[in-house]
Amino acid sequence: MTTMLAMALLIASLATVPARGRPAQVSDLYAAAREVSPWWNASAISGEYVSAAAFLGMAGLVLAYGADMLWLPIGAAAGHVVLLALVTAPLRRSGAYTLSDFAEWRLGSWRVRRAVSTCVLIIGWFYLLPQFQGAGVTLSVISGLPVWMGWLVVVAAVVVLVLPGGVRSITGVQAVQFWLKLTAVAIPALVFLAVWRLHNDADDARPPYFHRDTTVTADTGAGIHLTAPAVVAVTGVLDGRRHHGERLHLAAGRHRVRAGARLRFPAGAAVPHTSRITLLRGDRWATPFAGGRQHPLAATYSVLLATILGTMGLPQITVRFYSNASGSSARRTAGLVVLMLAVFSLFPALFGTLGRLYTPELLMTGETDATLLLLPHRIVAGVSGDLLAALVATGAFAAFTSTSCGVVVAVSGSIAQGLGGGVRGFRTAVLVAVAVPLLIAPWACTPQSAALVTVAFVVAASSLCPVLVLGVWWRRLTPPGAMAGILAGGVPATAAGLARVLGDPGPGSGWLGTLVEQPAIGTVPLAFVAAIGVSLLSPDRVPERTDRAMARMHLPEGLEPEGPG
Amino acid sequence: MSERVTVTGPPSRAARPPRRAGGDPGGPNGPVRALMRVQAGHAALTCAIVALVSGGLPLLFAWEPALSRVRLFGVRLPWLVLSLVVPVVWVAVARRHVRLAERAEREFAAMARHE
Repeated sequence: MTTMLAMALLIASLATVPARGRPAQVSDLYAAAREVSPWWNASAISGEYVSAAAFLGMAGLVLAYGADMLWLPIGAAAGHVVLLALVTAPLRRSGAYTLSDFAEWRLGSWRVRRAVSTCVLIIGWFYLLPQFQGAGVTLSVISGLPVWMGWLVVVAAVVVLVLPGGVRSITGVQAVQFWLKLTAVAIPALVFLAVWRLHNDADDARPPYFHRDTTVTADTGAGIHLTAPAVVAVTGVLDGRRHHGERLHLAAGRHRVRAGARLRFPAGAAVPHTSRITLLRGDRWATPFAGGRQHPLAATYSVLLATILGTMGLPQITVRFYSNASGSSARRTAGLVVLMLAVFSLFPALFGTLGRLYTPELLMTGETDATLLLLPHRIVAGVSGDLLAALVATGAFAAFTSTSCGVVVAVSGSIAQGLGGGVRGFRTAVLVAVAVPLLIAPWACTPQSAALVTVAFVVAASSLCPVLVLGVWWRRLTPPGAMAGILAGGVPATAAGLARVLGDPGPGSGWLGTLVEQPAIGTVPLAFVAAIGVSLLSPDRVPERTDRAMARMHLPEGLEPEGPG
Repeated sequence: MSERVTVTGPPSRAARPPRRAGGDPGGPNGPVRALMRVQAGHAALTCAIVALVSGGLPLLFAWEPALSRVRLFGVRLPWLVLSLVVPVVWVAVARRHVRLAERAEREFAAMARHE
């Protein structure tokens, strides 16, 4: 019943797309309505940003890793403050629609344009992958369908929404969906707070335990680690032997379950952990930097650096400011986005803590993205729980479709020119943008979407942020310098990202392991040093148009220089 | 119309007749540089605040684990600070920056009109 309700609500939310005929001109595909008000556009941008990772993933990460994950929402909102301060108004005034356009306009180099477009494509792929994963988890949680069906559903929705109308057809969807997502998150939060009243022993000095009898189904074969002996009713294959529901005395230590096995734990039993998630006692879970990671401070700074500097390099964000009529309107919109994201920052901590109490079995399956989807039924019984669950699931679907649409449109806009331009180029680009993540999804090792999204941020911070910041504020940036920055930061960041996506992120060995997992603290300074250094070494390559470009970007509207002399 | 159209956006307003390259410091670029300096100052200060907060808080909690044991309203201090206080700080910083940047532009426009 929940599935049907959720599907009905989803279809209703998709119907908020304003009905449009075929676009009259190709420029319609790219130019969103130019008279969009700051509040409306800020809603669309925030809706874009509150993706599957923010909506589901952050709560799941807090469930698994505790206070160490609270830095993620902080970095996300701070990234928009920095975007507002450094980039928004000048970028809008430049008249560039995509980051590739900006690079070519500012530096006059098609090579730099190509490099930027490549980075945009890579970032887009890294960002889309966790959206598809989140869709798969959502669909499988609420309906039991296999995860890959969720991937197909979201891809189909994106293609249907994006192919006909480009940006114009999705601004309305995204703005409405931000408020839908906020409702989907705020209402359950209020309900949970009313029921729960902040009583929790999640931060006591004991490992997480089941508060009530819980049956856990293993979707995939996995190794699990029991901290204490427990009496468990097992149906399925455990440690190589098939059982039919009888109760077993399981010793502490490692056990292996095959896909499809069901284990029923009594209340009070300690929660077994998948090998990917370190066991944390409650008090260590609740304390920052107590989680036993190697170099936790460096890893935290790395993540903060990536999210704060990477926001401006996310193609789907900067493209949205084009909908504002002027630089100052864009700046105001950016300010409103900070406000909306700040409101959203409240929720991951709350839901992660509730998950620790009510859905601790996710520590065993590793599918922490499902936290928010399972909580309504656990906390609120009966029909209200069903309704809440449907609301949350709808918000989750809204998150995937709106974010995926935004990313696909922005990426397609950047690469369409290279694919022949025009309507056909755009549509080919759309298919290229969705096909690669879809093909990689079965091999992605990390089921936690928020962790994957940070990979996109790292690449953005390491390759596009230096070009943007230096391009806007520094007169001496040269095309070779920009290329050097993009390569010096982008290549290692992409390599580390691929290692993260395709390889198992087990506890790394010392500094190298920490750097591969969170490379920003190395790749971002490297990119800036390379860009600045090579620019200073090639002063003869400073573009002639620099002065004009600076004037155009920084002078307020109505005062740009006109004509020669 | 059979000419090929670049589809990355509406016709760029930069398609004007070329101006002379470079530009002397006191000439038409002088005011631009002045405004840029003011705006760069605002931007730098905003970013410095962001850096201070997001750089300082991890150090604070790492060096003083006792802070993590303090509870307010039953909730541990790090959770309150990171989920409630810091978002409010970001909103305040953003609002301040928008006001300052707009004021700088207004003053510049007023000055330009008097010339």
